[in-house]
Amino acid sequence: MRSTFVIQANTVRLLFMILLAVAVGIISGCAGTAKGKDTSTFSSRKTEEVSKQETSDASALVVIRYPAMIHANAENLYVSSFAINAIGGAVPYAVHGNRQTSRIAQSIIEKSSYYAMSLYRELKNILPEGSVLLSPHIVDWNKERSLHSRPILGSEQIPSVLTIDFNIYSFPDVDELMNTSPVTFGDLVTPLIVVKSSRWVQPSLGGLLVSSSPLVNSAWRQIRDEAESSFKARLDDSRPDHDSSLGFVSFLRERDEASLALPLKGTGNGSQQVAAIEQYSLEKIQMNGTVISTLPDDFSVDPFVQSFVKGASTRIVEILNSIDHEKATFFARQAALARFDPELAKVFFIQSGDESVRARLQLAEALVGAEREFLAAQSDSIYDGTYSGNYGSKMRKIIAAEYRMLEERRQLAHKQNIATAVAVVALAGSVYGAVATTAASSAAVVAASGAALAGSGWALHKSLETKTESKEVNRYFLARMAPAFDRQMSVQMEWLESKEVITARGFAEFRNKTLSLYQSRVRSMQVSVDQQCRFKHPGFGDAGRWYGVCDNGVATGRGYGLIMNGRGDTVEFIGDTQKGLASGSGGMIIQRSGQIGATYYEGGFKNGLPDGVVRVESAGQPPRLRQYKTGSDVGKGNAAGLTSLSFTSSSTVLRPLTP
Amino acid sequence: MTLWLKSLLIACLLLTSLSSLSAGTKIEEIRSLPPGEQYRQLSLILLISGGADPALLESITPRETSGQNKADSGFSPDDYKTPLIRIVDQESMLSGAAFLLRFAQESHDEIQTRLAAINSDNPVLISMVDMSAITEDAIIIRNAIADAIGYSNLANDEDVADHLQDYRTQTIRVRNVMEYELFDEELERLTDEAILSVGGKLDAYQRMFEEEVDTKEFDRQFDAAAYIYNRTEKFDEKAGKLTEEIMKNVVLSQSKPNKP
Repeated sequence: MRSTFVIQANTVRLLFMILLAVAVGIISGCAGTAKGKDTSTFSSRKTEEVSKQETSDASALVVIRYPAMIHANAENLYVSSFAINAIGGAVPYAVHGNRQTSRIAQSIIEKSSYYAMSLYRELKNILPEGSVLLSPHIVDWNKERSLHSRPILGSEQIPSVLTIDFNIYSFPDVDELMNTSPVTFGDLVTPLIVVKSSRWVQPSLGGLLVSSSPLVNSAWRQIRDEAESSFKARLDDSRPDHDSSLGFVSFLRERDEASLALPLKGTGNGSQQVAAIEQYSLEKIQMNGTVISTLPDDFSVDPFVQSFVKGASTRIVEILNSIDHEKATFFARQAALARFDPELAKVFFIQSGDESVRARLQLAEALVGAEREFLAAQSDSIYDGTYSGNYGSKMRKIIAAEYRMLEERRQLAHKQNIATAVAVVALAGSVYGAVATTAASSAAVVAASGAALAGSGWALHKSLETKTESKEVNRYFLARMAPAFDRQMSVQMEWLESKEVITARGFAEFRNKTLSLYQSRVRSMQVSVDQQCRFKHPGFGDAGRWYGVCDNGVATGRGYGLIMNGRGDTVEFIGDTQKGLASGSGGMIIQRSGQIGATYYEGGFKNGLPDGVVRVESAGQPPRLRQYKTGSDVGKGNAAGLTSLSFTSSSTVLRPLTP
Repeated sequence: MTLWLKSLLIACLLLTSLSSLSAGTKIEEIRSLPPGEQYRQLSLILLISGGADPALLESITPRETSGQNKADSGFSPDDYKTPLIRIVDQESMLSGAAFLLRFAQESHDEIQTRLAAINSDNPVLISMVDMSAITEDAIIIRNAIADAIGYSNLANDEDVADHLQDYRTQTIRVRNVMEYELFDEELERLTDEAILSVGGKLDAYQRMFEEEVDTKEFDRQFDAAAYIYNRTEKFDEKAGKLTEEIMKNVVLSQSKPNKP
């Protein structure tokens, strides 16, 4: 009888030991060490000089768009979208409504503002003065557009060669903080980017050049919608009303959209010739911890620059060097002119060399150039406020404190016992939930207490000690990420720190003044275009619109033409025409509805069809030179016979007056 | 005096003064002038000669007589004693212009070098030179030259007419560029002023924010949306009553009272 009890007792002890081991395994498995990559995939790239290209004075080279604020009315939808469309795994439904989830969602906006400044500073140092602009966005909601974002400044009205959407990302579930999920916390940063240019730079893919993997589908859909909206507006003579949301916001807005078979390529050099979207893989970058720990006192070295920004900027310079700036800004310049001189905007497509057009264009582009300069100064001010000012100082304290906590937890996780493992989880929750005790953080504390009762007083002690620190951190978090909009407003006021008397009414007033000056100086043009002129294509009919030289109501000469049929298929053409049809040199984009990617032809045309040597670009393939005869591909083309499409307008070149 | 006469007068005066630069003198003679005047005259020569095609120059150059260019031999200030003579003597005008344009063409590099030298030796003085005034003079003289060619039989030749048109277009360009410079100066002043108001602070950002977001209209929009989307249990009932009330008012206001 006694031996039976002994056996049973041993069995129970054994079972208990096994269960304990499994439990420790599970919990410590959950509590990883929150590691990341030292450097980004971009960092291996060799730095190259910025090549000098003839660019209009009106144009910027790069506009950096990032989320800077959120309107109170958009918060609920933003947070729920953030939990639903989590990157890096599914989020348990119970986590969706957690206060921590909301705070993480807010922290993305706050930290994106901060880290975007590193990218801005680096590009500003490399590129010509005044050619990099910041475009902070406010995340908003309305009935028509649902969740969206819109720019706060006028930077996006300035033509730019490239547009970079930048933000950082953190997985919504705080319990996953120590695992492999993408996180931006302490020394860890997970950047998301989308790089776009004009549709004519990579016509087969609508100008979408680089995208973080999770955003690529939504970015593509957004580009397609934007193109469709601008076509309709052009055909209806209405103002384009497309969504200019940040790539991340348009990703959050989507629900269960299909994954597309988009042509993608890596960031390596091997496949650069292929017309595909460069895919930037999701990477959790681990910055230099030593530098981070000293950040509050010394921010002369920016650890984000070494680990990500330097490489990313190198890639941006490579892209800038590889594309034709005139081509990239042609349509944006036309749109900028249309804002204040619609007559000139119509003539712009002709690329006329007439002196009256040249002179007017010179005045108009100087006006846009002045706006660019003003916005560059505003961008500098935002940088000063966000990075060098009070906001930056507080953010650095937060990042350093986060780093210290992460380091503690990493050490605890290495101990590999149940008490420390539970304490790690507790700490992870406490970071976001210390000030206002939430259900989740209370549960975590209870769990930690349970672990202490099991025998590890040390773990509890460390947990509470660090938790006190996290209270301090969270005070800043609350100040930065207050859910109420008026609080956000006061945060903004804190940024400004300005006691100056307002002497000008900002950009709007500046624009009014410069516009009055323009109107007082402008002279009439000797060139005009017909309001209603037809453009035709053999396969798409003759219901297209032509913006250019016209004779008897049909396209005859240089200009831009567009046709959209009932199915939504489109033909766009820039170049020479005769009798309404593309004839001579030009470029044509044909996009079939429902098809991924367009086909682009550049070279000779006759009766609306490719004829002679033509460069053909299709999605997923390298561009190729082909010989065409009345629309039929008859073999390989000879490069010497190719007439490339030129977007350069000699009228914009300013010759000095003084001898 | 009409503008036309005025233009011709200035043109002829200048051509007269330049006529003294005939062979052997040229830049050396100009060198004897004070630096400011040198700079003015040389700048003017370059501005006048811009856009003059060699073919145009060839067509207006008088045929050589006794081995010498007429412009070279007979072009002197004495020929221009009175405005009337200057106006009516188109031939002298043309020969003066031919000399001037040829001189500018042949000595272009030398003139440029001299201008650069004057500029580096007298930077303050040159910064005070009124380029707009020089350009205005140049435009008047260019028009006078073009008109002189136009009034002569030379313009009947199609090629000469084309070159003359190019020359006139270049004159318009000189005017446009001059106007652009004035515009650009004013634009720069406005831009600097606006940038100064940003002044390293975030005033503009704040204003943008207030104007864009912190408006009553914006909030009202959201209130309205919130009211519609966050319906209370009594929304339908309230809305029904309100609609009924509105309908009654409409019926009352639209109906005509029965006449007894």
